[in-house]
Amino acid sequence: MFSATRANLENDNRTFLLSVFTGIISRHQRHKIGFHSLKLTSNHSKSCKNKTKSLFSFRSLSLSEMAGQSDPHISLFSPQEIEFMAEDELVEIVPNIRMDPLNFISGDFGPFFPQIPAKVPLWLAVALKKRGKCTIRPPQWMSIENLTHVLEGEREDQGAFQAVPFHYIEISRLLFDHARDDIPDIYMVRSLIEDIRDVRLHKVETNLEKFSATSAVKISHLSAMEVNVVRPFVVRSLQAFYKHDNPVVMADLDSASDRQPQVRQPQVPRNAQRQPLKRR
Amino acid sequence: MENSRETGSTNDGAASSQNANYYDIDDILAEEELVPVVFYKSANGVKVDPTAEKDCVEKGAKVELPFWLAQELYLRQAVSLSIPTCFNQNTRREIQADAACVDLKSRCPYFYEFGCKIAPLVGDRTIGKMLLSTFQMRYKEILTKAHTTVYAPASKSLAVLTKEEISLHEAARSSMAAFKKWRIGGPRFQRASVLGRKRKPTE
Repeated sequence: MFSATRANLENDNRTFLLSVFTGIISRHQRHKIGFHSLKLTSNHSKSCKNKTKSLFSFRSLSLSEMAGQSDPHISLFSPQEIEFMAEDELVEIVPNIRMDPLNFISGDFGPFFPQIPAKVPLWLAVALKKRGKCTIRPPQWMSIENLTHVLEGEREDQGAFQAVPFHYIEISRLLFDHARDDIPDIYMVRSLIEDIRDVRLHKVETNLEKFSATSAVKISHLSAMEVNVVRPFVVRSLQAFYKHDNPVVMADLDSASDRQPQVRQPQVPRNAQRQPLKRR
Repeated sequence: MENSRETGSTNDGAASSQNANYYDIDDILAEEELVPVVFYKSANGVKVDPTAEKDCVEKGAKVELPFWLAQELYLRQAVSLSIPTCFNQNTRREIQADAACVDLKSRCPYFYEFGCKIAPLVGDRTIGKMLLSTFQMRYKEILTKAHTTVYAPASKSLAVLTKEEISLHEAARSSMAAFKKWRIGGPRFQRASVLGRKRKPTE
């Protein structure tokens, strides 16, 4: 069940089941991060070209920045970590240099020829862009028509969320930061995306009010950052609902997580065990 | 008092080893809440009330004991428990009227935890239901707004929250604050603390 939920999150990017078992999901995700760093270091040693090496040193910097969660109990991911994951999304770039293919564990990218578009991960695109080696083509969904359409949809339909890219907040932020000259009408696009984000966050909050005594909630079309913002609160409140909703389950939960067993212990064996102490 | 807690828990070594909450400060504080009890037996060498003349508790004495002690005595059938004041009819009527306005913090800072612990001992099934409905109402009225409310520690709505509710509120607030901080930006790359550290001269 967990893997199914997780698969939804990863592949479909459309549905995320907020369940009380998020602790287990989070462990999955940590694995993923561990794998990430592994991948990067192996890249580092494999490709010894000077050009690419400098790229990776940049990348490993951002890794060390987010290596440890400051407080795992408050939030399972920091926004920086979500951004890190978003950097794996593919974008189209138009390079202005000639470069051999780059072989990563996640796939091969390139070869690159001037003026021939190529698809690369966002982090690579940003790194190349910073060095003036390419221009980034803004994704399809980042057009004014599409964003206006989405914003109208969000405002009209208060119950449901519009389908937007899973990492739209992070991708747009990275592009606005590093590739502002490549995005046509950047001010309009930026304000549209900010409006969409605000409307959606408000909607998430009104959705939270509908929770009552349920152990699992399904909200479609939430994006990564939106899920992450409400996750600590939602997980805890669902746990509280679950606990108070069902005292029997509460007792089971307690024993499952090895919590205070005293209350549930039958009186007789306990007394028998205590006999010597009583006499004293 | 503190001593008896120590010895009491070392006695059931098996129980404490499987007790993940053993060092949880909130769990300990929740068990400090007072429970009114009536002694079935007289106990010598016990001084519950510091103003008492003799070092003994008579049979039938009504005393308020912290939950952890009351529970142990109850399991040895030395006392009978009655329902603590924070779950009495008065409080329940107030909660039914408007749960969001009731100052639960002053009544019992660990209202829910304590309720869950005391319910099976006093054998009152309505406590569980009351906890659920209280949480539902307060969740809807106060807690769902936690993501957007401007944080003011002295604000009135926060002053009535129990510890459990405050931790929920805090979780929502801090994740939102982290998101806002990320959105606004700031230093994109921080130097790892390990890198900047200077080596201490060894002597």
